[in-house]
Amino acid sequence: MKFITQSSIFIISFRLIIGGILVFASFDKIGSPDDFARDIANYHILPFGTENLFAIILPWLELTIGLGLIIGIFVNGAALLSMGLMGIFILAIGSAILRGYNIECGCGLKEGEMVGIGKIAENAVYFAFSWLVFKRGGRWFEILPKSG
Amino acid sequence: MKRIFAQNPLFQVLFFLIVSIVIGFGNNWLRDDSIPLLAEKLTIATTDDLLSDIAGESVLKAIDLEQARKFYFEDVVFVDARDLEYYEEGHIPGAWNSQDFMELSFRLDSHQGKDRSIVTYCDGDDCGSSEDLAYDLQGEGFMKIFVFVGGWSEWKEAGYFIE
Repeated sequence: MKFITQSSIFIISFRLIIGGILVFASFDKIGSPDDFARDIANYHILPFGTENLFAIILPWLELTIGLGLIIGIFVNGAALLSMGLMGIFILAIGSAILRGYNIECGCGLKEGEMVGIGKIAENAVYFAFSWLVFKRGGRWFEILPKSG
Repeated sequence: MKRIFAQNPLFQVLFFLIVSIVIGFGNNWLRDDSIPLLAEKLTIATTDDLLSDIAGESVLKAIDLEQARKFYFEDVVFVDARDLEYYEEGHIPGAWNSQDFMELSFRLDSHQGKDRSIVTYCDGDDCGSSEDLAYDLQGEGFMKIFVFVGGWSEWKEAGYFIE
């Protein structure tokens, strides 16, 4: 049985939504890696010092997989990585809430957004969209690889 | 063979990772405001940092409870970087609130110019807003900023005045 969410129009919409969000979220982080590094450090999850490495690489990962989803390059890999990123964001925000941290989420979508259940729900929706893209039944407007 | 390889999702994941790492490091290396690959902790202020009232160059250092107390009695401006609700529950007497950053920056500049010392603090060791605020103030051109690392928790536990 084929669900409506597996139709081409839905899959292409999901690709554009997640891709657009990832690309948009990366701009602020690429523009201010020092701010993003401090946002990461505030979560107190990574060993001290390593937040800079993540602040240097993560925004570019968001940008490249976002573009991959939009343009249609290596969509499976981009969807898998998107699921991984959303999963990590959910865990990080959840652990911050459990530890009582009232910190900026550092999501890059809106200035001053704080961690909260709403952000977890938002990332869960993006996770679901990415999963649907990964499990899609056909290839629509995909450039690479050339054949399915 | 090459085509099958490119269709493998794991190869695609690896592709995105490698491209991001290469561009990320390259971009960081080329840009003017690059950051070190590993973050460094704020260094503790020395006696020279504390004594000099007018800074020649930008200083952003950490201070401990004793140094914060010394500053407090020298009427240095303290800025509470916590949310307003926590500030209203209690703060270091005379500390300014930081809710509206541009207004804070303007008030500080009008009050004492950009060369005099400012102390920022938040809840304690685990919070980062005092350091964030300190960097933002440095970005606005304030020259001498000290982050009281122990913050509100340490100040209160020490039994000092609160408001």
